[in-house]
Amino acid sequence: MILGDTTTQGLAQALRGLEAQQQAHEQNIANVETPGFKAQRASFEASLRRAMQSGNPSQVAVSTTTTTDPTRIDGNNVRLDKELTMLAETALKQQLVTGALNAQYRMVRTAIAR
Amino acid sequence: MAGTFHSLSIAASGMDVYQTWLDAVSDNVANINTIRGMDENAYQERFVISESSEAGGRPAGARVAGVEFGNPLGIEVYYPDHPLADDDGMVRAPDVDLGHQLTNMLAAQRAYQANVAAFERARDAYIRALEIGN
Amino acid sequence: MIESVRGVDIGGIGGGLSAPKRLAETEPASTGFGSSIGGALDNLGSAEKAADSAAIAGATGDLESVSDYMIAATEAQLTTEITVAVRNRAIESFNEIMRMQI
Repeated sequence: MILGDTTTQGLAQALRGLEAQQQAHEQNIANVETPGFKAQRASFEASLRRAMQSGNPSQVAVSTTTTTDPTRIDGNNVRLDKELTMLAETALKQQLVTGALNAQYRMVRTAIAR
Repeated sequence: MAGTFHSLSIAASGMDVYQTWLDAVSDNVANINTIRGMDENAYQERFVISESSEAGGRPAGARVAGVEFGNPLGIEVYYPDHPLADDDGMVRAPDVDLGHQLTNMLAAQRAYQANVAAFERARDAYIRALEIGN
Repeated sequence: MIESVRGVDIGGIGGGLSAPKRLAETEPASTGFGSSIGGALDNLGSAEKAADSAAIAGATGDLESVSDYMIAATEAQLTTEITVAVRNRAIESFNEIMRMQI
């Protein structure tokens, strides 16, 4: 990012992480009937927190894990309502972070405007 | 779920509990005619025990504390033609009352739907909060 | 984020300071005009910081209340707009004064 301080970079990293989370939920939902499929989760929050504390947002890592929740008879452990509620929460977080990024750029624009 | 949109996780926990309850009730109804021999336990009614939960001093909705199993002796029934019948012609039938299960199913379904409604109200409130100042 | 544009040259004044801060420094601290501009700039720094940390808390899920962030962001934006409006007026006044001396 050319025109970004640490906060802006951190928010951009968060957006990357949230996108990964959204895709994980969508993938789980698509595979709700696939035998043997285990739900996946993406995580970035702890990495982002550490990166911001050390002032280095470029070090945010998005990690994907497989859940070990109990499975049904077909070996699938995806719970549809759980994935949908988590997807809704991810969407809200995306709205918050996108709004925050826009707010950062808007302040710059205000400062530039005559 | 993280703390920022906490109301969502409270409603989702309710949905979780009532979905589990519905699953247990469905299990009971599906097995209402499961016959076992006298040398085994009968099909035991599944009970879901729920409790309210807290996280870090804040209310966190409800959770399933555990599953209990009902009467292992079941109801002894005279059914000599059944392949599992013993020398006296007795088998074990589940001690499960269908009417009771259907009442539970209605209660679980209504509670589940109420939590879905609570979830959507919380989501709408958060969406509006995210529009403050715009 | 405003730090990255404070170096922008405004009306030929130059240097790393924006016009309002320069004016605030040339005027005696007791006059209303200089101190009010300085005050707005001070508030801008803390309003920005509050909005920044709330935004990051929102991204990591540590934010207690969504409205905390929204209010901090709105205040930062409005404080920016106030500061910029004041800066623009200051430049206009400065240019007026420069024209008069000719």
